[in-house]
Amino acid sequence: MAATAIRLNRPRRSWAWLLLMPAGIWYLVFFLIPSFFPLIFSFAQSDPTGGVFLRDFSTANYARFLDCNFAMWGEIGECIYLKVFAQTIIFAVLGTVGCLILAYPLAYFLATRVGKWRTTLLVLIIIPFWTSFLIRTYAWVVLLADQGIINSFLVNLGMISDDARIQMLYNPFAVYLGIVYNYLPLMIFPIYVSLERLDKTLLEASKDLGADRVATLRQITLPLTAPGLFTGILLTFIPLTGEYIVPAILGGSKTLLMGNLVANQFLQARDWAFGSASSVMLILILVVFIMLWYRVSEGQEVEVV
Amino acid sequence: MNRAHSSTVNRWLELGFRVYSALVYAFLYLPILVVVIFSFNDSRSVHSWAGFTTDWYLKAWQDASIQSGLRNSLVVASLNMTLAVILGTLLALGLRKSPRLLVGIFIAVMYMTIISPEIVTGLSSLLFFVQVGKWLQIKNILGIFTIVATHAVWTSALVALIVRARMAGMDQALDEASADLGATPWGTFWQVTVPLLLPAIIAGGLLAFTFSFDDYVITQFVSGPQSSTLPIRIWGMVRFGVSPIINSVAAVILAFTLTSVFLAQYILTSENASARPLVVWFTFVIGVVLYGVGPAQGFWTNLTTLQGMVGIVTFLLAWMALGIGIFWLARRVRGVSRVAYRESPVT
Repeated sequence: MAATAIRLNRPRRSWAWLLLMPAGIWYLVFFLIPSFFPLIFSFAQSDPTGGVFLRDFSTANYARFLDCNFAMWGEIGECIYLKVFAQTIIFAVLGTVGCLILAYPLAYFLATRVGKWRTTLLVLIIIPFWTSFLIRTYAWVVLLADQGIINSFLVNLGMISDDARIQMLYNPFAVYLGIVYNYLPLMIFPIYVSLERLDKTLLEASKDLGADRVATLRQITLPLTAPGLFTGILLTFIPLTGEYIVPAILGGSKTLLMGNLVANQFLQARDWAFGSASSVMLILILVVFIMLWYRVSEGQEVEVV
Repeated sequence: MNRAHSSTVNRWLELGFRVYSALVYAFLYLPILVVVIFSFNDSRSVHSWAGFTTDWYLKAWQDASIQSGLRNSLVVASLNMTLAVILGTLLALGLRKSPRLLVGIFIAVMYMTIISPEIVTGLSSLLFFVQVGKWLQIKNILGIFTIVATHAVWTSALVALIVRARMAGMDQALDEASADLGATPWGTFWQVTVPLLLPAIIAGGLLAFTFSFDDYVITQFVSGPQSSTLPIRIWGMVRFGVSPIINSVAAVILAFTLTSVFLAQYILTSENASARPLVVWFTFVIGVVLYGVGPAQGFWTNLTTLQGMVGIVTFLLAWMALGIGIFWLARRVRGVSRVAYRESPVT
């Protein structure tokens, strides 16, 4: 018996890493290796019949992306693609900020609940987030369309006349609304987790020492929940930058983001090389963002639920 | 400081928080609710109520493109679930005792697969598969296989994270106790570890099924002309504007995904939740898959000559009865073996 105990306590050579291999190989072949393909293809040339010629590598696709189509001397041309690029950054930043502002009070509300209510309310946030993104976005068309629920409701109330319905769909507003709606839960979670872990006695102490609510929020709560805020920003910004469904459905053809540009090149224009270059530019936004994020959040540990 | 004043402010603040949260919840649920309500509207228009009907469900059910989309989605989702559960569970088990560096690398890659924008994942996979197809001279490489291969990447990472979270809450002492009582590592694994992890594995599998079933962005890149899934069909319809048929399909998908996600969440958030509702729902989903894409439909039609709606409903009833019967029998057998175990002489 004693011998067994000794053998159990001695660190045994573990073969557990072998269990990682099936998934490891899967990730390598179907995720990590494919990740490099857009970079390679972005320097190649598109075959007009579909596909890409992997020869005559050049930077032509990037030049096209950056091209401003100068019509005349001294006049700035259209810069179609750069405009989409800038618009994407603006939407991603504003979308993240919007989620942040909406999410913080709600996360605070959740963290101050007790018992069963807290779990229920939390689950109620996750559930819509984990169900069909496409359908939830489509639902806003039903609400916002000219003949949609909100307009009809206002007409019935007599607040607007039938021929002066408010144009709520197919504009930047609708896209912004859809983005905040879809990404809000991603922001709520990490903030909730950090608020929940917050030592409540610190708040008491702050109050006892004479700080008012605003001072406590600024000096205690916000700094201590910073990891949650930073995680939330990271989790929201990254997928939001590649957003494609929301602008395509709620933005019509007017509000283009990088996601639409890339998808159109692949699925409609069939210009895969230029599409790859566009996607590399999209990834560039993310890389710059992550570097910035890393600098600002220095010393903050990422907390993921 | 004036205490009475402070408590009044507190009360108003609390009220403010409640109203605000109610508004956010309304914001999250209102669109979903509207879609479901108007799927029962007895009118082509989608903005005014004209009475109750279930016609749109029948029309959607008879639509050939929706049918084929549903069939493809069920095939993709069930294959993906199987793969994700195997890969993800092995991953979670392996991560428990692997060297730290390796664990760090794997966790980083897992989060990357989940967080990276879907569109980037989709197009990278498309370029990769088409190139591989060229090298291997496979004509139409895009299809069910490429969809499942791509979905399995992030859904298996998700399963692994869920199972891992469950492991973190698991008592390590149980494993040691099992070893002390003379169980082999293999015996411990099957009799202690697996039963404890099973709720997390089933929840993860159900989520993998749901996410794969729901996915549009990645799927549209790596699907071929013959393998359009249901979300791709819905996308095609949504581009033509709002229609009550989309509402009814959307309502069914929502009912399915909401139930799955709710049950999975219920298991994951409460410590000692019963896994039974999840197992029942899981059995039901398997039944739908078997009838929709498997051999069950032909078998059932031959056996009972029931078809269409009646066929599927009677089949599902019979299937659930069978499932519950097996479950009950299994419990009895396990009960017997438990008694035998208890009475075996202690060595």
